[in-house]
Amino acid sequence: MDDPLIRRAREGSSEAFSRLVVEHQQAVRAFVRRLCALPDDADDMAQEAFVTAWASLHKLRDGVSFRTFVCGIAYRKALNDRRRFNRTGARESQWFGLQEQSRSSTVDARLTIQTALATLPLDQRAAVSLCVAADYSHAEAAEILGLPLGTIKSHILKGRARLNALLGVTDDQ
Amino acid sequence: MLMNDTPAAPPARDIGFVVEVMKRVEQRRLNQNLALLVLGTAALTTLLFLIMPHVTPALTTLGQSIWPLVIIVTVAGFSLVGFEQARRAIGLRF
Repeated sequence: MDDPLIRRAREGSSEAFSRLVVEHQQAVRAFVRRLCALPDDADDMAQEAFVTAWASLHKLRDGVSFRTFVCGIAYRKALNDRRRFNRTGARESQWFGLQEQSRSSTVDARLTIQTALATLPLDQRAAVSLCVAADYSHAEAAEILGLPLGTIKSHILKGRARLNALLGVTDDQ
Repeated sequence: MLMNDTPAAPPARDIGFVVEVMKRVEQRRLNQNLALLVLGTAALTTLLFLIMPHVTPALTTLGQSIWPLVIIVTVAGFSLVGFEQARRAIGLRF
């Protein structure tokens, strides 16, 4: 491991780890905010991702950046949250006898970018957030999301097409 | 459009966020250390409970001459553990 901060953080230095958090918090939070509906939930999840990263720094492989490592942890937390939310939602729907609303009725003609992004499936949203909204390479996105490179490219294509359709823009904008 | 989507961008420097992360990290470190301490103490107590009935008669037969050695070894052991804990806490390396 070349990065001296990561080496020192692995040896137990709180100061080194806090500097890693200072350096990477913006990128990680921006990614998580695009996955979560509420900024407060996103910040809480980003903090938990950093704490998990601290506890599992020994799992950080050579050649993988710290930012990629933490974003991967955050994505898995978001996936787990989504599964839990879906289970709870299903139980509550059964309990109250509610019918699930059709998605098309909730789509407004004046969608903001965030709202449009929120309509994408989580894996597509994550791929678009990383490679289109931020400067991650396809390989980094594949590492973060734990998906094959081809799947990442397919998610980006589909996600971008859907966003363009929702926002009413052409592909070159 | 997505890259210029400013509402999603958090500040470049946010001490509050860093402090909250480090608070959680230290909390987890404390919990881990406490768990280790409790487990270690329980293991040592069990070990002493098992071996002391066999060791005590031997120590008694050795007489008073062994006690200075026991005290020196005990003090040295505690000092080493204390030194190692302090070294880890302040991040000192050799």
